Amino acid sequence: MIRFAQLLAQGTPTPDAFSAYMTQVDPQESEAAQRLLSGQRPTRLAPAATLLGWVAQATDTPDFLIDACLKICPDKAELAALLLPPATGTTPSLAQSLANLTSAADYLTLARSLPPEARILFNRLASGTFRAKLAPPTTTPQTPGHCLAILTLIDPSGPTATFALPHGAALVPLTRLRLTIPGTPALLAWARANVTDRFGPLRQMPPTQVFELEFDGMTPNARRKSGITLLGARVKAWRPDSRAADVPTLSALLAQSP
Amino acid sequence: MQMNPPPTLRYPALMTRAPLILQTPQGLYCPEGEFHIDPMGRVPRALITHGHSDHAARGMGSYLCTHQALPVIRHRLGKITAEGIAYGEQRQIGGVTVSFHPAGHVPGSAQIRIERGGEVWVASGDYKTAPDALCEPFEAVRCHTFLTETTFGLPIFQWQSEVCVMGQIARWWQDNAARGVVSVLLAYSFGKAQRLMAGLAGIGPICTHPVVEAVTDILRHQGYALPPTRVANGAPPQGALVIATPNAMASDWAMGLGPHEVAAASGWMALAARRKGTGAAFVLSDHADWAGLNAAVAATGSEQVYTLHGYTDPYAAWLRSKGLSAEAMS
Ligand SMILES: [Zn+2]
Ligand SMILES: [Zn+2]
Repeated sequence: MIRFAQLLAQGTPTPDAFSAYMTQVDPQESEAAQRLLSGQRPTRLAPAATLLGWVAQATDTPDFLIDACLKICPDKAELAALLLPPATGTTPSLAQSLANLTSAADYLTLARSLPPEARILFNRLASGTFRAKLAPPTTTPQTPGHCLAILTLIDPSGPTATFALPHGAALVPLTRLRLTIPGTPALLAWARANVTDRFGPLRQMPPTQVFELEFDGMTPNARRKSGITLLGARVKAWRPDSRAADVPTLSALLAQSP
Repeated sequence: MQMNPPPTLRYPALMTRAPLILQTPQGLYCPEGEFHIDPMGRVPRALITHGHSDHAARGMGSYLCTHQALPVIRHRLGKITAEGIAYGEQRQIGGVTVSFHPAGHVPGSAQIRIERGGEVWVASGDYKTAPDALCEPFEAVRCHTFLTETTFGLPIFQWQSEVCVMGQIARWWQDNAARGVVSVLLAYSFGKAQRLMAGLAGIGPICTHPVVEAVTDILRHQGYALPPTRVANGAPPQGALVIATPNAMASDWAMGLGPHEVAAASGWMALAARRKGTGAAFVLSDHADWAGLNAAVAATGSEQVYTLHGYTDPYAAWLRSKGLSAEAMS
């Protein structure tokens, strides 16, 4: 959330600043940022005046002081951010902040944990007044593409699946995606019957099933084993006709990126 | 927070006696001591809280300030008749006893305590309750009547810790250095500039504008712990931090800096409107924030508060809503 706030500190970010940001954050964060900057807004929690009212009440700030503050800080989203004391504890991510926002209590808990610049941004998101938007060519700086990938893990509660690509003798995780394709129930039935190991909620299965993935672009990400993040990736189809041994390598995918 | 021994707090005839400090056209005036505090108009005798230009002006018959504040005041005002006094030292002036106590604002800065027959008034000058790496830490002084500054007397002004802000500045500096760009930090030449050096010592080379260097040199000779600095003439060394006044950036001097990023460090940077137009902005103030003002007022134990500078009316109204007698001093 702090990095996203810094990205937007000088207004709408440049494509360079945006790519640099995408390499610094984890995939959940970059997907959330991507959605926001492409114009998808979270549902409004409450108008800025209401957020300010909650903060005024939580901090015991009388009306006459709010009025005095509004004279030099007329932006209610900014004022609500400044009235809370400096943040303590760990800072939630952008994705976390947006996922857990349904009540005044959620709002106050999250706002208290954010530093001031991130709080203003958070208030704009919560009050539906977030306006920054990247021009379409910038949101998908790379050409859209597709690739084959091998299923390695499933979390049945999502259900989500982890897909990987061959790299030398190993399989390197590429992305984790929600399973929404029509064949999902059959796939889960197959997975249940073929579990080879468990890691918490994750079930491992033999790397034999091949899927086709589609994506809007890819961006370098040094924090990931694969070295990239796929932007706007989704599962296109289960490809029982393809063999895992025929799936192109990670290097072949990287060669597609400009 | 250190405290002086409390005076007898319920002075029986407090309300009926003449005020120890009045506001006059020349500035704050103590009739029984026949002296002014931080006067801006010409007066015979001036007690000065600190060396900032809105507190120490030319043209007074005589000056009294702390030993620590005197060298910079002499540097700024030229030939003056001035005397230094130690923190805590008591001095009889006319019908009152006067002493100076650390205000934590800039090196040598003081609150001025005035006592007459058990009744105590304190004029805060500018003050900051949170400690920094440079100046004498603020000491609360018990009093009946407290004249407090309220430069940042609204609850939107709440500072992060010194360590946290210095960390932000250090990261900005290091990021610039990694890109081969010089970092220029804008600050007042006295106080803020040296506080930044002290807080950022040991990270990399620190250069200064000549105006900053002159004051820094004086404070260094006084014994304040300041890292080595040198004047930036032409291009500063790779990865250097340059501390300059805002005016300096409009001069020819700034042309020699080469590729650089500029940042401002001030309490006003808390407001988005004030951050517009500056490269980077850090919220770092030499004044007390909202919590600091409230803590300072409480620590004085005062029954009566007068507010000066900045948000005097809302802050006085806030204190009244908390049951104190308070008004803006006008
Ligand atoms: Zn000052
Ligand atoms: Zn001042």
